[in-house]
Amino acid sequence: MTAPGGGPVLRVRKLGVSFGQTSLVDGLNFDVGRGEIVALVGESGSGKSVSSLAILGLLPGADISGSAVLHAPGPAGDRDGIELLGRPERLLRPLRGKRVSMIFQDPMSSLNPIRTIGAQLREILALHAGLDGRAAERRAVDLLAQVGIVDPQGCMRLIPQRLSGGMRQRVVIALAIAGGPDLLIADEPTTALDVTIQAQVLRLLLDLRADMGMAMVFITHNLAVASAIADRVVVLYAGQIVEDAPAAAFFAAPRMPYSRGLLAAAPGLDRIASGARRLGTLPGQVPPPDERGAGCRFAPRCAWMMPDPCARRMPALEHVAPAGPGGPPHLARCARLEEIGE
Amino acid sequence: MTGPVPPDPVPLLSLRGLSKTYLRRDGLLTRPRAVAAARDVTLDIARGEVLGIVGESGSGKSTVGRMAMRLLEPTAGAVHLDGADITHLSEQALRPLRHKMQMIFQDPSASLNPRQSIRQILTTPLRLRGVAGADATQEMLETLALVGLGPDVLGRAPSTFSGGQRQRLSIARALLMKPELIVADEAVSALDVCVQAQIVNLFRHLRDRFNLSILFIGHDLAVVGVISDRIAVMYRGTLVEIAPTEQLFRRPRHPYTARLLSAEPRRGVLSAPAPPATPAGQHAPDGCVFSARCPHAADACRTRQPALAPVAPGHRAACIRTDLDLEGILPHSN
Repeated sequence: MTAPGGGPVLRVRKLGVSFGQTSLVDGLNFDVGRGEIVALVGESGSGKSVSSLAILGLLPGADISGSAVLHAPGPAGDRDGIELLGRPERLLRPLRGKRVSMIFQDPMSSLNPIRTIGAQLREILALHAGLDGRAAERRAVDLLAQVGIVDPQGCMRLIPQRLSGGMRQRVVIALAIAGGPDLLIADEPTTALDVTIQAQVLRLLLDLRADMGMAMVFITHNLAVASAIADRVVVLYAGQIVEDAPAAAFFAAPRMPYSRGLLAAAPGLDRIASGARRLGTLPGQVPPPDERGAGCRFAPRCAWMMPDPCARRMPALEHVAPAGPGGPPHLARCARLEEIGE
Repeated sequence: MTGPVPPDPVPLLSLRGLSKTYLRRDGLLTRPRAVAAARDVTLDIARGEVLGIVGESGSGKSTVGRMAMRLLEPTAGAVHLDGADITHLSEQALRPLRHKMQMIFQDPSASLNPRQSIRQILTTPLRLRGVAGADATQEMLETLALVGLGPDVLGRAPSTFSGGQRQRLSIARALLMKPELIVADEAVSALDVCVQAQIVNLFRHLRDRFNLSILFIGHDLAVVGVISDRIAVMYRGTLVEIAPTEQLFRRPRHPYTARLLSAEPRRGVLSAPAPPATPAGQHAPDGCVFSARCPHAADACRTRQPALAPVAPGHRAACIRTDLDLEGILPHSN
């Protein structure tokens, strides 16, 4: 989905997050292209939320290393970009909402419970678009209409409590896109919603991508949701990226054994049709941060594990197959990729 | 109200026209109005059957589960266990039957006393059954092994376990009552996918091994689909469709079921055209509960809530538009 000539909107290199002696995430490298939707998937404790909070400077008290550079999109964009990591809060604040926005599972974490939707939208518009008075009012109503609020004028006068969960998440999305950001980081944005409402919100996000060219990092534990929305899938396991692939290739043939296990454990509809109702399982559990060995972190649970090299050396994140010229790469972290095959 | 004769002459659990109505006052000065959390729900669970109930929030699926367990008094209707009407049994008369029905909840830590060791927690059901001493210890260990836990857990406190292990423990405790029916309410919803898969497999294994009946309540269609032999679909307190799982997925007969299936996230689903937008408004008080949102609603739909009626063998739907050919999410088999 990367536009021709346009570099990535976000380039993350060697991102590490630790609290004191405990390293939660290390060595994260990934790009988000202009207009691209990257799903960051993994189980709890994999580091997917921590990584995105670190990128936005929303993780006070953490030691953060590496680099996360935000680029203006398009061929005329800035070559050097803006380094987000280590940037002082007073310089980060103007970027949030304007260049990059974030939405969460619980819409109330982003809304003021006692102010009207209109007041909250006008405030954001004054801050990021320099709009006030009538102009702000008009733009706010437009935004609410854009996110599918049926009666935007009426909604402006309501406080969040008067809205359903799905409507609140739409309002949060309206607030997040008000500044016209190039990148939206969405952390489990539909997890708390009913499935029919989830489908509507996912459609809305796809429409916004089409209309605004907005890129997205979509954090989810739900592989079915990732398969519905993502262009790329990045799988995290125990604080590391273990696979990074175009979504079609990933769901057709995941390569890293953990990714395979994850897909085999997911209750897919195809199982119901085939009558093979037994779900795949992985032995053991994700190692806590202080019990990660020197070898592959998945080795203790892996059916293909060989004492050497798997338990001894950490495999690198490597190309599964030589990427064609300009073709999207498919990377996996496994020393035995060739032996295991597809 | 009564459907076709179920295959099992005496189903283990039979819910007959169950309703639960709450009085809700919208304002200080307004009259309270009746809100139906569940309306005239009739269904049977055979021995050894896994029956799923799916629905979105407010559908009444948990209300039905709690009424089946006699944890919630129905406003109308009856609950039969093994052919006997238990709807109005006193708590005392109910006690000997309680062990036959066990409930598993979404949050296992809320039902495991944090001050007790696992041994203490697991002793309670055994004591209720009059099992003590070496027999108790042996049964405890066998049951722990069944749910995939070792003897080392006995001395530990609930807080030292992961969410998946705690759910195994609450299943072990339920099994020690030697139940015939387990009502599982969103029992795997809080678990990571790999742990969820293990618990789903465990439920099916227990059904196969002990011929347990399981009422599996959930919001995730794929999870409920994988575990259930039949699925009941609820919408706003009303049971709108019930069918064998595959049949429901291949050929839904109620427009709400079709809507639910079409929303199921999967590859390519969002590139298909969105289902027709329908206003959320209140349906006519006497009409079909789905009529206000239904793209196929006819005039007759706004005057009467249709009863659940047979549409195919083992398949019932509460919809008068039997002429519709609704889209499922699995290919038609014929």
